[in-house]
Amino acid sequence: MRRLASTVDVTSIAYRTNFLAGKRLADELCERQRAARYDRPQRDRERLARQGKLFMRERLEALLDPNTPFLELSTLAANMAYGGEVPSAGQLVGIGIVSGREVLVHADDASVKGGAWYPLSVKKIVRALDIAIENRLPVIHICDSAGGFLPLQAHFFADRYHAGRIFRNQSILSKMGVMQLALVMGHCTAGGAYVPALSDYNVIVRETGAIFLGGPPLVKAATGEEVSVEELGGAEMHTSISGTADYMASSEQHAIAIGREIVGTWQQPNKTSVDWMAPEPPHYDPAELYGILPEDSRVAFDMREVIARIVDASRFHEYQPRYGATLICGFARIWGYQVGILANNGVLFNDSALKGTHFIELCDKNRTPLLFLQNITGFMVGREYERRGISKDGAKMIMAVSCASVPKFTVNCNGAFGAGVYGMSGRAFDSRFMFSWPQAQTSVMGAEQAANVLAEIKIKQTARAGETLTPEQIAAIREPIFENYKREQSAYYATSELWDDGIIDPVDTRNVLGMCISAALNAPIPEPPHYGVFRM
Amino acid sequence: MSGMFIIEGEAYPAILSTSSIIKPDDAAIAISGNHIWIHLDGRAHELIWCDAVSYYTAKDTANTDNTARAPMPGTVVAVQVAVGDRVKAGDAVLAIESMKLETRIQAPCDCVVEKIHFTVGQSFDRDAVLITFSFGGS
Repeated sequence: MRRLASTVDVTSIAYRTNFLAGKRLADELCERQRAARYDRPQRDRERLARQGKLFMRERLEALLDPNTPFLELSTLAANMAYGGEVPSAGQLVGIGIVSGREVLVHADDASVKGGAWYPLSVKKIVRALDIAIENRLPVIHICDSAGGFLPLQAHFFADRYHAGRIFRNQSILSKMGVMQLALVMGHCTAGGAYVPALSDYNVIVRETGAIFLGGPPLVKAATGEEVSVEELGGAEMHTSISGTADYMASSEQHAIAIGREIVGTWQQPNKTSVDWMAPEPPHYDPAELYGILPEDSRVAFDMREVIARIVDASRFHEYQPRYGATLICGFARIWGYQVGILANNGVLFNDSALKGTHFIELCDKNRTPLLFLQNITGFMVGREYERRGISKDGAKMIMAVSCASVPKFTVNCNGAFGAGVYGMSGRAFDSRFMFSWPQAQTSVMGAEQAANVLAEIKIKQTARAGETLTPEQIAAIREPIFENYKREQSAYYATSELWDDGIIDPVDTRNVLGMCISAALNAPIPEPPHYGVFRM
Repeated sequence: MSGMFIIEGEAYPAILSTSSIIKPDDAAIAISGNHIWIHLDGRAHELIWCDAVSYYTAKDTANTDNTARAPMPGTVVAVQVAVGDRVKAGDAVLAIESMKLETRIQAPCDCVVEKIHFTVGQSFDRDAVLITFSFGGS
């Protein structure tokens, strides 16, 4: 397969300006992730030490196989919510290797508000278990939570994807035969009690671990009974009397050691076989991505330059190179796995949408996973394009994206706006994993366009009332809308709300995708549709 | 590796293998990028590897486009070349704006700017010829 030929001039002023800006964004991401992982109020750290508990990151390190990669997901969840006081939404989620098996780890972080579940914590746990279901990944829960954050209960309790969904997902995993292990290192109260109870295996730490439907204060209030934590739901009681817990550990390290032994007994998965060959690093340096992405997001660039820095040996077989040129389609390998790539090189026209549809069908028949690299301002608008049926052709692409049976992966490289998000497998289209690059933006339309549209409506309303607005008044309407759109279309807002599985440094893209593809192959790929490939 | 091997200016389709047929102690092989040197019977031979698709694409001169066309309808925001300028493939020749995006139009090949069809501020339809190039040496 041919190698892409890069035309990037790494000595140009534009490249070097972009590089500095891109590197700064990556450094900022790195620092914000570090802070979310490690910066905690001193009193919370001291409380953990007093209770004889390890910091959640130390538990993770002891759990994982030494010197194996760990892909942490949604590190910056809730970074723009709750006044920034609930880093990572108080939850650690990621994919790693334990006793030689690929597993999903979900851990409460007791150093954040005692491990209380906020609405976004629940969203993050539900998403983690959705990942486990979609990819048949065994789950290890590390339980240490004060329970739901009661003042916000209306936002995490009763709805379909609220807390109940955690337990529903745990049950479904069990039905599918996907193993779960819970390590109880703190209190599991009320709903939280079901996390170990619904796991196939659980280990509880003596003295610090406890499981109960109602804690001692609630019991006292309800029945007047006075009972200690150990008596009510401690390790001794649960492992010898109630049978709610399986193994008692004398320390957290002991619990982790038992847990690792349990995982070692689980059957090794038969992974779905897809076309694979020995991997080769990209021919072009991935660090050059910093200089390729323009500092000004309105400046276009060639997505082939991005592909050349993500795929094995920078080799790419481009499909229909002369048709629908604003959507690049083609085959390449990532860590040896063949993938079909769709990348935007401009707005989606009728022909680009048809090409995308055709290519997705082709990949589905060929059992080739799909990678969407979003850089899309939307579908083309205007009389000419409506007459050619732009909505009809866009519908075809959305249909193909929705119904493809091969695993899909999405990276928002620069921007994703309007219906382009749907055509390019946005969050609603069940990509197995979805990531954003730091400067990427997403919203229903651009901030400028939204501010103008909304200001225009206001001007017309006041005109009907016989008044005219001064330029200052118009600016006063426009500015707040513009600012709000800018804030809410940033990658940090998207990841705060869990619209993706995390922001990644562009240079890490190939490694992240490699781990995701490997994880995805734990699940079988369903049969392709019973039609041939329609030439669109 | 398979593809085209260029030996003394002539291209031959072949497969190169370091196993079985020639024993490694009979020949020394050095590879640097697409250049391969084989030392055999006291003589060094140079081969240049070329991927088959690229080889045939490069041979096809009829396919070479000497124009830069508009990928989408829009407006010219900057002209970076003048008539008579010598440009290399991939050089920026024009900046256009369309659908909120500024796009760089690149030269399709190593050539000379023959005609610029639009000036700054003018708008055009999709597929309009923006610049015509010539291959004439001057």
